[in-house]
Amino acid sequence: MTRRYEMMVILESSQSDEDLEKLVEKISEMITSTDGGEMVNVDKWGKKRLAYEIKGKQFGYYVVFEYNASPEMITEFERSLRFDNNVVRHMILQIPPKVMKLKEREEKLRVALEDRRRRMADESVDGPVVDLISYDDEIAVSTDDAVKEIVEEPSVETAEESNVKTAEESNVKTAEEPSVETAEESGEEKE
Amino acid sequence: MMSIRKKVDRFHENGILYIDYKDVKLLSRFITEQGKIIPRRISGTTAKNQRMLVDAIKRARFMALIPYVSDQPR
Repeated sequence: MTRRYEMMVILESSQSDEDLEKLVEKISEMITSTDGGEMVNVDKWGKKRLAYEIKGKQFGYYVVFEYNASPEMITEFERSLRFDNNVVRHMILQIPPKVMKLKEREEKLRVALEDRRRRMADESVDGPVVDLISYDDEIAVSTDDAVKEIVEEPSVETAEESNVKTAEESNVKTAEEPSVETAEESGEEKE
Repeated sequence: MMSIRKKVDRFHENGILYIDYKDVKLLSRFITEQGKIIPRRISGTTAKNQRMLVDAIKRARFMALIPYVSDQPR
């Protein structure tokens, strides 16, 4: 029985690149060598400035691991990490299936909106292209209409995926609606 | 009443369903200069999202991605 985990580590950054590489490998090994251990993704952020001093250091080498493993090995794993002097901080999070689905749904939503934006850009001669998802701008168009459109549109993806998409679409639609209601509700309560 | 302007949840607006502790850029918009978490009544976030947001912020703080306290010169 394996579960999905995410682990972020901060490694001692004053080592050489090779040593850091070796360290990352070693940690990966610790996971893959166990029964049911499987590395899904390793994301090396590299050297970053810490928001506050840890063990007298201002910088740390960040790595994010995403992996599957059996829950039994976690306690052992944590112990070995705690004793390793090169691992300054570590945080292991379990990613429950609910969250996995949320992430997938969000990804699909993002891709669909991007496609829509691209299509709008191709088709429109005059009209402005509205940025539907942006972190930078404070102004953002509500995604309600966008979501409804996607749901009602014929499937953009191939036929094989259309079944999956329909299931996801109905999920997206129901997921979005309660949030809208709550937002409006709380808005009205204040008034 | 409190505020006439209708507040929209920023996450819903941008189609964000999962608030990730790794998203420092996003998180830093919800903390003050001093590093304090901005209350819901000011940011307009829904209760559910605020809970997710607060968890994310606390994790990010632990991993030194954002500070616990920061004294920025005013």
